[in-house]
Amino acid sequence: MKPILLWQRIFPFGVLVFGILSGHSCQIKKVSYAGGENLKVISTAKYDTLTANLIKPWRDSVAKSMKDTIAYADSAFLPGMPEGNLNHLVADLVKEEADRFLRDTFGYPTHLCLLNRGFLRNPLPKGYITERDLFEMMPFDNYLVFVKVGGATMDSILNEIRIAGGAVIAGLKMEIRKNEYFNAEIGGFKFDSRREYWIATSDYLLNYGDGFFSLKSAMIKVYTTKNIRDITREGMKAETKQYGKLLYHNDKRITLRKND
Amino acid sequence: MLATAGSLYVPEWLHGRSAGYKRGIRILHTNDFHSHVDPFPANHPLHANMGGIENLRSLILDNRPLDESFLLLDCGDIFQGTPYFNLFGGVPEMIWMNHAGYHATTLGNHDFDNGVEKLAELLKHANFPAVNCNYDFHETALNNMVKPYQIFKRSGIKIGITGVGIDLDGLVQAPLRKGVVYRDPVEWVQKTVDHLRKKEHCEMIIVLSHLGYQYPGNKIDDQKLAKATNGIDLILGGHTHTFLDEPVKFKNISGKEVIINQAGWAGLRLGKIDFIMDHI
Repeated sequence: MKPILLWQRIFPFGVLVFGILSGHSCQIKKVSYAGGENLKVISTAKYDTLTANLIKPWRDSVAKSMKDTIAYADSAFLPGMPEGNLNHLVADLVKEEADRFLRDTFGYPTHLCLLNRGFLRNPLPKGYITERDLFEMMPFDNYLVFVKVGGATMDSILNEIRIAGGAVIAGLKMEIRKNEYFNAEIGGFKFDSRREYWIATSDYLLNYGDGFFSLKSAMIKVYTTKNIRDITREGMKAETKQYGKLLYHNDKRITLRKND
Repeated sequence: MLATAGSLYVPEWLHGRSAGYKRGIRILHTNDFHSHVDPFPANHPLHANMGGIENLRSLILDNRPLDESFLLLDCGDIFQGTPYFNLFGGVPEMIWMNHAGYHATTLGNHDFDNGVEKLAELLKHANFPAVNCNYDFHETALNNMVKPYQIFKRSGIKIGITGVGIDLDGLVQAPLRKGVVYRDPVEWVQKTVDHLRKKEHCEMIIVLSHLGYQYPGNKIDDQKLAKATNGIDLILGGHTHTFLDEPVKFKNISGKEVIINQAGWAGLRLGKIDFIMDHI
């Protein structure tokens, strides 16, 4: 018979004493929500120097490479749904370059420009617009593409704009209700389902959707190496050079109507 | 509920152990950071001078308990949105999250913006796990790098944390998410929660979600997930950049309370949620 070791003699007793003293022998009854809030992150008197020092090399590099001024705005440009003045600014600048490119290459005009609202991530502030503002407004590297669609596909795309609740568009006016669009005009003419249309859009929207899946059924697709952020930058520079500031594009393009 | 000591919060539960054995846990959380390392500029039309990692860390330090009875969590879309990501591919964001002491995150659609391989590289440098239960990563570089769940022990209880992600189709370019298989969120969250409750004996379950707070129709969101499942105590959300004033209560499929919260985006808000444990 094996001898009983000392720790074997005292171990059960030890567990019992520990349990009584600590209260850990009891069972969890329940976990209860006791309250919560979402705190605003604002500047405080307690500046966190440790974090500032940690990030300094990256911050200095961003500041250095993103400091160039590219345009001037005498008021802020805001993105919005179904539309916003930033939506209009970007769509108009992209359509202008798209028109030039398509005419030079194929001799056709672009009927409309279509980009997704999610493409614009931040407003443009009032004052001088820097390279950094541009990147924060449009951080994605998306490229200009052209698609030629038939009337039926165009009809589907107009419905997709309705379902999305708006878009970044130029060359198109339409009214939308919950279940239908109406009074659609493309390039100043009533939408004609027997016609074909050239659309300037992004490679992201063409290939991956964001709700605009009908673009995939285009008859012709033309890819370019033109980065849409570069197009926007050059357009903003040119507009500021010509007019001293970015122009407002306040025309009504997508109008929400209540259901009857 | 909470007492303060100087500038540092001291949760009441730390004083209350001898009176009723009440203990607690605090959850601090962010979502959709989107590379917003710096505060928004003074001329920003919506968020002038707000956010920024120095301010965020100060707020975290001011609101975390003095002991380890808290978790700092994130709900994905860490990357994409400022030149920090365009220029450095996510490295400063990882450095920041390690420095802040995050305990876990989940994956958002924009975390795939430089592709699965680049994301796997970044996660190698993270001092915290990424959790997700409804993406199948077996055919990708993220296999074994993203865990279905992580268990933490805080205030004497086991807390199971899992993550759930949105359908990447239509959001992330196919080559960038190659091999990632999306699976039904409700089914896989429930499977994981059941495992955590029954096999791992977790006493509290938190879901880090990047589904979005609410959509019309049948599209899955945090509210539908809460109502269709059992055993979840808290859903922390992201993707829709929803600014809630405070957490919202819902009932799960059995009529029990589920808390949902989402804290805006871009490091503009820090979510703070307290739970109390009642012992018999």
